[in-house]
Amino acid sequence: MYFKKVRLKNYRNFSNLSLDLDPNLNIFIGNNAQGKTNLLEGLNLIIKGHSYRTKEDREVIKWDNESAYLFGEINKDDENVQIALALEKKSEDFYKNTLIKTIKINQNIQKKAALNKEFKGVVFSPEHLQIIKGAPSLRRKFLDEQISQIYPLYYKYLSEYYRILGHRNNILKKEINQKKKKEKLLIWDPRLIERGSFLILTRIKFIKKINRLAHKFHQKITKEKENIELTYQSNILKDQEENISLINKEFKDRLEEHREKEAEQRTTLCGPHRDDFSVYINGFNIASYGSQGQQRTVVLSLKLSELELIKEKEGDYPIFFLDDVMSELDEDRRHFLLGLIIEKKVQTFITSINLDYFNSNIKEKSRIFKIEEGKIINL
Amino acid sequence: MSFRYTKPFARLIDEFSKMPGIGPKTAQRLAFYILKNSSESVASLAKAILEAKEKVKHCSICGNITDQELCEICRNTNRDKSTICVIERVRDLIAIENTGEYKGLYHVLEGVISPLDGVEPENLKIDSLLKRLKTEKIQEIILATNPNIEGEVTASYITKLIEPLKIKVTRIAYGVPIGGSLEFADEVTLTQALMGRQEMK
Repeated sequence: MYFKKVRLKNYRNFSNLSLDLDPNLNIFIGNNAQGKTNLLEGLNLIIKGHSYRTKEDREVIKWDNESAYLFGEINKDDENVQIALALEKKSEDFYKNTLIKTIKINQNIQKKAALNKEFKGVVFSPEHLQIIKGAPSLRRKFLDEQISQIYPLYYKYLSEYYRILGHRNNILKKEINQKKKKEKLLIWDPRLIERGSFLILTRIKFIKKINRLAHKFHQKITKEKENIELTYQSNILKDQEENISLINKEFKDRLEEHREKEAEQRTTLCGPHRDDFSVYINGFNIASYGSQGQQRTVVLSLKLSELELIKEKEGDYPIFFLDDVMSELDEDRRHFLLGLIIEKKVQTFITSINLDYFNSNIKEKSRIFKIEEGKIINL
Repeated sequence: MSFRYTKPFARLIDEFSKMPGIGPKTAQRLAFYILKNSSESVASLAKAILEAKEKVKHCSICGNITDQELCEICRNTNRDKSTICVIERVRDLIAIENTGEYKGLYHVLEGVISPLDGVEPENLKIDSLLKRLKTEKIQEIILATNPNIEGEVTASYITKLIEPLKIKVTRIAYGVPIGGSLEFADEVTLTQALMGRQEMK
């Protein structure tokens, strides 16, 4: 799967941009605030239907404009697919600032879900380098996003789980009568346990898969010096359990144990919304013992595993977006990453401040675009 | 200063725009329609609105809308009085009635359990349902709440309450829409349809 063409109109700082793209490697060069990342975001927006940088769709409309249009021509399984995305402010609507988003695939109006089912993309940005040292919520987000891409039912159960959690926490916060509180909670608990156990089991299985792939990449990047291992940390289970009825039972027991404490703290204290995972290198927890370089290598291995997982499921690599990570990786890792992208023919978009990160061999094999104030300057 | 409509007209637009599904633009169009119409037809519309509000009430048994004490369905002697279909809102009743397939009775809950929206079991018409089960000769309860998490929780809550009464409880099936092709069903729907599969008879 790869982009052949892209056209952006009144999108971010681009008035009108039209590009023919390389099926393999595309490099966007430019100084800060010229539009490199905007362009990368735009390409990703076309296949995802939403921005990975903002929740507010209207932010991507060029300043002082009422609408933005994005077009992409993609080769998927040797067929040309046209995607058109229109974001239009409803100007007559003087109360609400509604924005109308229209997605068309080959001229037919489609839902975002249809787009997500057909087209896959993986973003690697400096934010991901925080995965190892950052808050557990970052790691959960990483897991949830990855699993949802390849397993749509997971996404459904995840949103349902959080909805149940919301209802449950609402009861814990508002109901003062202890007896009534317990009665009300018991209405929701079986569903919380059912959805939650499914999430835990799916995450454990997913970590197992990631382990197998990440191990291979990590060995290669570190020239067989480092063994990587991810372990899922559930506050429900003591051991990595893969029996759903056992997870159910444990979840139920933990909820009972936490009843009093939950009444005190007025929030749900156990469940997958509080889980985490740790990464071990040669048996040491990397969050506490790893160097910054090691942590970056881990993230790189994880991201490459993500590409492979999607390839296993879809039969084709997703489109890869590397936002400003070249400067974060050392020469060896950069070399490995670029070599792999070329070897596996993954269409990749890279933003970078300078071209020094790319050797002549890479430069020869890629298409380079220089971006200045929302325009492409010929090199 | 931007243009403003004269006060009575602006008020009319304002009233229309409070209605569900009506934005400012449509409200404006409706208001112009009213202006254009004859006084008689506007009076008749106003009368219809007032009358509907005054006369339409909820059936004292099932909660359906009616202008009498009991609704048409509860009054109808040809309906199967041994089955009750439990639904969230009156509009769900209309949807099921339109199929022409269901001949039993209804019970409108007037919502679903949803603490985030301030709705707890005691805010729903569940007590009146239990009362019906004790006084009427009911053999089957069909739970037709929506297939989302709140609908599901409400259905299992009611199931638990009915359990001691030894009445058959069923839940409407959900999955692949009829007339749809499997190829076009999304993966989630398809998975759920597989989970709720039935034996061929």
